Amino acid sequence: MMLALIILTLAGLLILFLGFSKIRNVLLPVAIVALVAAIFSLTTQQTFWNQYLTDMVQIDGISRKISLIIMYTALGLLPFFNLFKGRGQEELSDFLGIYLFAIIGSILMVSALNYMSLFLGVEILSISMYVLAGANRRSVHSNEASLKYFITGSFTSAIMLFGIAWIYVESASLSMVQLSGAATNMMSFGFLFLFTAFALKVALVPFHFWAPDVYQGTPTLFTASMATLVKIAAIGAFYRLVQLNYAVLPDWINWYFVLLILATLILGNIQAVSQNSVKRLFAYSGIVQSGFILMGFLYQSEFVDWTMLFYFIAYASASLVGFIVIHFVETQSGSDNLDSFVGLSKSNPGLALVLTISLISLAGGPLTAGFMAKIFMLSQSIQNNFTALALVAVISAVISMYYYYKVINAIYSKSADASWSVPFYYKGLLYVFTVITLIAGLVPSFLIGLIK
Amino acid sequence: MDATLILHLILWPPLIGFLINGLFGNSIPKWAVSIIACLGPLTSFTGTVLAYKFLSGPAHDIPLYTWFIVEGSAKINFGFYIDHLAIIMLFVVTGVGSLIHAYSTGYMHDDKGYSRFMAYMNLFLFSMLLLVLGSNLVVLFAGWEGVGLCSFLLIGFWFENKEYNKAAAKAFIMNRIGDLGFLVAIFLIINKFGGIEFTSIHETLMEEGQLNDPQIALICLMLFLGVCGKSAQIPLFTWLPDAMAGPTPVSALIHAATMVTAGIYLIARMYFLFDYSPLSLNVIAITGCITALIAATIALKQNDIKKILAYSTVSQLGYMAVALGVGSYISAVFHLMTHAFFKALLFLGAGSVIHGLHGEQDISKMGGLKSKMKWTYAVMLIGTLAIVGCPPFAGFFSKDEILASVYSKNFWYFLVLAFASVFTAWYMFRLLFATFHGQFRGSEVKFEKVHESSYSMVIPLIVLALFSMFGGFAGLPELTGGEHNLYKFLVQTIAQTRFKVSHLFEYSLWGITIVALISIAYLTYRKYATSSKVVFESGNSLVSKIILNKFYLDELYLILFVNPLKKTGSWIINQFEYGVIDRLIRIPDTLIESSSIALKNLQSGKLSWYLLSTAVSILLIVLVFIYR
Repeated sequence: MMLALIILTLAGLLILFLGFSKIRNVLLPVAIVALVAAIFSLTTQQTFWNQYLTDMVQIDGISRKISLIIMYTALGLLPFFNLFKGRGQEELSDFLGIYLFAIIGSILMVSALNYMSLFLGVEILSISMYVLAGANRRSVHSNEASLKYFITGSFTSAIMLFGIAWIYVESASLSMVQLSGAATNMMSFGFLFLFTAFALKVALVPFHFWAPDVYQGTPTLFTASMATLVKIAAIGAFYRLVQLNYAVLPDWINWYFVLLILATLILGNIQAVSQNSVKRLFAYSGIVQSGFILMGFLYQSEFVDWTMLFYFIAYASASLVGFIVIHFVETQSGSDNLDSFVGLSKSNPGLALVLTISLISLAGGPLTAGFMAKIFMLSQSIQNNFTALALVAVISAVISMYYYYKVINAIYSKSADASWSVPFYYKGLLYVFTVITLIAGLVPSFLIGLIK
Repeated sequence: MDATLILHLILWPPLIGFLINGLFGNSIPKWAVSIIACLGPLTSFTGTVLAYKFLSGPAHDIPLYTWFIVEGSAKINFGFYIDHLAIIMLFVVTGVGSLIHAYSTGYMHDDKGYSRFMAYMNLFLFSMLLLVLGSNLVVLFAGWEGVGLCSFLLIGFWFENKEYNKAAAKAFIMNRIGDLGFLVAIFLIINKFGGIEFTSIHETLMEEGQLNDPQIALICLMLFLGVCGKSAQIPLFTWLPDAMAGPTPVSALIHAATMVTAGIYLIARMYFLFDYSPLSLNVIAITGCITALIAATIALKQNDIKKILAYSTVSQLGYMAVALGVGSYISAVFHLMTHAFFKALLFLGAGSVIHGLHGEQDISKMGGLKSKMKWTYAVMLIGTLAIVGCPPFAGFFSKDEILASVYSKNFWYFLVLAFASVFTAWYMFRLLFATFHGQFRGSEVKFEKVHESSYSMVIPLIVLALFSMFGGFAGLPELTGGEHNLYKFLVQTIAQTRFKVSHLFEYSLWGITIVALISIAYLTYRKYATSSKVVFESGNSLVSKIILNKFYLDELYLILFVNPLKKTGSWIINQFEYGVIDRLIRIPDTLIESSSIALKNLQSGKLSWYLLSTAVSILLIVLVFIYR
């Protein structure tokens, strides 16, 4: 794990250096090679229970798997950075370097064993993303998104530190593993703030207001990484934090989660219904999906781990496709409004097909990964006696169908302008993600086997 | 030879033909479609000949595999059964079927849906074979539904025409009413006998069957309801005349020779059950009588050449039903066979006439075609003589046998059938003379264009004409001193005693038949062939008006069943569906929509508001957990 982090850091620095020396064409290959090498080093690592840097980070089963999912997602998105090529290479080298640092932050976050390293990971990731959100310097929206993200992020960090401080006051330790029996009131108070900070980071209702604005303003490719990479990292770190402390947390903490889930599923969905911007729609979609994933927080069992990981993969593969298609449509028509998608099936059938499958998967339509992910999550809840919650989740999924199918409806509406095309290698990558979605939906046991 | 091998040889070729033509029919040349389509029935026919030649013993039970199991009672095989009855039916189905396939290659050749047509025909033949060969009621039912589906597809073959689609739907729905009875009968049989194999039902009946058992009576009546639908008996016969919307080969194969006789076959197949219920046999006989008479009466006044033949088919099916009803099953099968020959012949002949006249079906616009279509005229003459029962054509022997056997059981049934016979002779001679004799009643130009049909159509006609001439010799009455070979053959399957009538009756029946036929032929010839101005019925008097309108049966059904159902349906959709269900469903819909628009305002875009609401939320949560 340390090797992976070192590789990525060096590669990030190298790319920044290459950017200075105006060597243009090797930037992307360097990033890809570095990421593949990092994935390789983490995959081949034999001992899983290693603690590094005097108990600051620990690579265990779950953190290793989440890190791998993050890196694969990042790898899937990397080739699309080629689209920035026309815009001057300093920018490309900056984006790539910062992107790699964001990955480092994510990995650090999900494998932290100490609040210090956790906070460090969160900050590395966040600051990188603030920059990327404002990547389009000439656009007012991009600047606005960056600023909003930055201020909300600072707010989040403050709350997080506040929570950590309470815990530290009580336990006199920054270790994330609390060995004492039940948490005291003060400590629970600290956890409440810490969790709320994560709810802000993940964008759960009612802490989600920033997300649609930021998602919309940010250049779409970076929105894609916000919605997938950052979200998975945040939820993963959150999950790990809960998992490590599950034994000592007070009972009422479950009610806190239930409240968040209910608010997210109901309000998130309802707000999404009247959206006309597809990008914002995907932002809400991400919010609601996080609500679903949060259902895994309510109980600890060996099944929850792979259910969550399965959900991550289902969500990431569908969401990536969605954002990338939005990017292409946006560049083509200049807007991400629903109107821009009308007639896509005629003007670009390939993109229409992958977007449709991705939307069906997000809606939880059968034969797709999203369906199986939701099924697993719901059956876990029911088995653990959260039947009413599962019911609400199902109803919310039904409501969500409405806005997903609104987009599909637009895609297959009649009117079509002149057809346009997308380079085959981008399309090929989208097909690969779609195939993953379908395989996970058709033979879930195959993917579950891989996860385990 | 192995029975299973022969079974496969008979059963599957039409299905293979259907699959090839159905899937690739549009991408292979027409001559290949023709060959593939005709090869299926021909192979089946060869298989039938082999079965007749080489299969010894009374019956061959071939359970291919267990299809499904009814929990707690019956194991249902995908099984087949070849016995003497099945072989006779196979000869009819594959023999006539092959000829009509060959005819179709000529008749339908220029239709744009040619390959689709041939595929449907093959599928029909496969379903019919399933029906005939099934060793239990469920396999038979599968075939029964299959032929119903093909009938639907082929009646509505020219689906651009809305009327034709309606006719197809009518046939399908009327059959469904009958099928419901059939299904109920199957369930009752499983319930009562614990199995649906014909052999096992037979055995159980032999052991513990009681005469007049009400349960058996109910089963028989339910089966007969199915028969009424498929074999066009009153009250479910009105679909058959409308079914003439399909191409003529379809009318010949499905709606005259094979499918409509499936009901007759079913009763003959289940004769042992019906023997236990004299009540239901009487119901069958009476229904048959009424059907035979009413259909023959309606046929008197029709002008559409195919409709006349359709009503004639209904009437002849009535004859067969009466024969079944008096327990003379073999006579019914005999008539089924000869009827298949001459009615297929008549339909194909009519098709040749329609083809020659470029789609004209109204006999009041024909006349004098004798000179233009010699072959067609000759075969139509033979067909007419056969159906009216003129010795020594096929229809004479089978009809004579039915009349004699009915006379031996019940005089009144006999009287009704005799009347129907007179009507039959009248409308058939009318058709023949009005079509081929006298003057052509259309324009000169049209007459010039009349042509004889191609060889692919004429040759099957000649073969069928030969069968219509000599097919009756399979069952010579004892009066002639000949052998009733068919009886000898079938009695191995259908254990039925031969009826007895006096020689005097037989002689007088023949005499009366011949005298009546000659006089009717004379009268109709004078009316329709010699007079320069032929008068066709217009419905002046009340009686002819009623007959012309087919006894107002369609209208009656419309008032009694169709309209009330339609009204109920439209009430449900207007009042309940739109009024109640739709409104209920729209409640959450509008609720979400409006709350979504309201919540949209929360997302103001102002960062200060976001942070404020976040802070307030945190505060609330903290308060809740402090004062929990």
